Amino acid sequence: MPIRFHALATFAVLAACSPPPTADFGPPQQLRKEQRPTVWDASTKDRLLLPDMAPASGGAKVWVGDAPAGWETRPSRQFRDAVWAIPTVPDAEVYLTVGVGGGVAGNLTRWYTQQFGIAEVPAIEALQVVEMAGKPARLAEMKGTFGGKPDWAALIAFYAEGDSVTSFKFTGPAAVVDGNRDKFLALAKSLRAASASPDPKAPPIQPGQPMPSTHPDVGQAPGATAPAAAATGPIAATVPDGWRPKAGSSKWHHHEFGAGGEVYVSQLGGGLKDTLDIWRGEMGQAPMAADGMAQLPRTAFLGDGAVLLDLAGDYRSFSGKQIPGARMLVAAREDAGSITFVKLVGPAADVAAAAEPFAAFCRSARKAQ
Amino acid sequence: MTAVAQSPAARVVAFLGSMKLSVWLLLLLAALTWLGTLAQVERSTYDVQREYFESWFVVAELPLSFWGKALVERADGTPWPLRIPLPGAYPVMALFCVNLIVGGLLRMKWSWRNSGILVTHLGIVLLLVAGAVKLHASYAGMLAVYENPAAEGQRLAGRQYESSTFTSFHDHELALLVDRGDAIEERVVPERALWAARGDGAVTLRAEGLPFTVEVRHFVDHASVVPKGPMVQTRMPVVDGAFVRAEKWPVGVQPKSEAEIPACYVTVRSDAGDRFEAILSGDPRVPKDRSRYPFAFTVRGQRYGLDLRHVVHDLPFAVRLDKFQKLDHPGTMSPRDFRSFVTVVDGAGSQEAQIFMNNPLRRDGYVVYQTNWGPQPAGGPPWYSVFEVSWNPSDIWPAIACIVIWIGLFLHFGKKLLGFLDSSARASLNQ
Repeated sequence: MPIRFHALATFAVLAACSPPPTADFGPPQQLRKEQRPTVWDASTKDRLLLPDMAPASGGAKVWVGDAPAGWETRPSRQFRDAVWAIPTVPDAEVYLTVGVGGGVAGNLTRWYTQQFGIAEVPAIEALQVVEMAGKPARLAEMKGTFGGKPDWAALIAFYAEGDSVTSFKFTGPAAVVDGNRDKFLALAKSLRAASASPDPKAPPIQPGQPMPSTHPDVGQAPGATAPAAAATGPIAATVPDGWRPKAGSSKWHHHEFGAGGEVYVSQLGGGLKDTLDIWRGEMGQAPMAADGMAQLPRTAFLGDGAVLLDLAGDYRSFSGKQIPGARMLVAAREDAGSITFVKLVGPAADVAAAAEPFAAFCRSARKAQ
Repeated sequence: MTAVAQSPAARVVAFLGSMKLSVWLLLLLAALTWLGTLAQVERSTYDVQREYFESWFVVAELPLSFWGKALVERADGTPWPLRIPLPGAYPVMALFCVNLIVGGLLRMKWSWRNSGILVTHLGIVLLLVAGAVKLHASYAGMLAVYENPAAEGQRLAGRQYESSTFTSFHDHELALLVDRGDAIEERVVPERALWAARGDGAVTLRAEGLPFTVEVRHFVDHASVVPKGPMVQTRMPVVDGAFVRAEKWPVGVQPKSEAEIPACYVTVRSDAGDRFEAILSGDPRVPKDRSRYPFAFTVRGQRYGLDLRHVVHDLPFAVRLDKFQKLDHPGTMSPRDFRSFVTVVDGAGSQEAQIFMNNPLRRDGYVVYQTNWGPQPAGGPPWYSVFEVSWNPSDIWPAIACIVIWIGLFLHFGKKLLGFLDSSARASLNQ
């Protein structure tokens, strides 16, 4: 018996200490470069096709709320769209996270079971209804050990849009959370997205926090009323003089010019011809013939080979906007199944004046670093 | 009566050629076909084919249910399966082939009377041999190309309009690429060598003359690579803000192994002490993007890349899609016919051809079949076409085997008919 045990033990030790298996690469094969098209310098995001890490709140939105007495607004950061702190309790955390996936059930399980070790997750119907950012929300309350810290508590107000859950979370020592419950609920109620115009109630910008898109250029003299810069998205371009940023728009490079003209950059899925035909429809024109694409002139936009659509007629958009005697210029290109385009439309006289700046804008467009 | 004692060799030959063995083997094949079909409810066709029909041995599972209702339920409500150890279809068919040769060709009396049966057996043997050759010597894969625009300027950078390579549907490999400027040097390791890196295992890859080794860990057959947010908990390592997440097919959905994307972690250790870590994903991009995006690193001034990808096969010609045509049944989006107008280009010139259902392109030993199209469900333009490319030395053997079997049966039943027409039975029927 002892011999058998020793043999087994020796075998087990040897097995545990044995080196990991090895394998040899096969013999080298020489290939022409064209046989293996290779992008050597792709970023990790492009190489692994990683989705954007930006939260679902949208780049232009800034979330604000009325900080209770004794609380301070702190800079937002990734996955924390708005943050507050209680200076006297550094361990306490209050923050808003917009649009996390996983659905209500998944998030409740994460909060109760994974974070607080509470096996029984209550049904959503059993949770108190509270108001959060002008919407009915539910309040999850839990106490226990959180992150190794005993006697901890959390209040989480949340609402769901489909699978996407927006939560406002307050964690800290149980006594602190209990004592500040009313303040937390008042702050939850006051939450709002400030994206369209400067908000007099917005908290001051904190060190390190990015300026809201609606903030005037800091180089302006105090009191100046210069228009806010348009959102640029992933496209950088030189904006011609005379184009005015369109306030409150989340479209990229959305500007106005002349009397009622507008121009913006965007992306769409679908086929290029179908999309061009839709825009032709806005100008009261029939779809192109099958070989119509081949007849279109080309222009430079994010590289050579973008098609240029130049149409005249009465403009009527699907949202109802109408411009009689209009002209539309579109530079569009299709890459990897998505269409990127610059669309300019306005009264014909204004567009005639804007045609050269439009071409210069298209030539200057490049992917933002 | 005195029984004549048979030698052991004669008894073995008698057993191998016996009708009793034929019947048992046919019953086993029927059982394997039935159980293999049932297994495809829960598992991918490819996996079942490998486990039931290309293996030496299988533990088949028979869910105990009647009319959809479980007779004995497991904890998850599914029927408790009866596990039946069986030989795989591969040895059964091999033995059946021997049985036919010994019993149906060697032991049977070679006479005009038996000529039909002998020829039929010959045809069936040829059919089985064709299957064995296909299993061991053939390979197949996918080639997808977009319609080539009429005007040069309409071509989109990166998109695949013409291809002289095709990629395996199911099998992957890890390729080490060496950037030689105008050329690429490539070394590959088949996927099965990486299987030891599943779970907590690891595999170290090396090659003579390489100034580094590559350690592969956490190989996952069906995975996605996702960013690691602060709310996400994972036991997998996080590299460059991302980690490998094992995926599962939803309950009730039949897994499709060709849609599974493997991923793994690699650590490169150079002999100079450099260390590089990365995640590799076998995500295919063709035809929207013909390029591969390897994890690139530089050792001793030489640039290398590691790419986890479907097994790549090179063709001696290129296929360019000039036009794709899809005709639907009236009033529906269901295709009545879809076909590709292609140009085949090689060193000697070019040749136009049409590829559609039951009309593949045969060239240099390869067969190119029309198998799919896209984008689905919206359709084009721009369209792309998906071809299955197959290299199979026994490609036309089954057709020859069917003709041989037809000749054998014609001979056999023709003689029977003639015999009947000449027999007294016919005379008695006429009375």
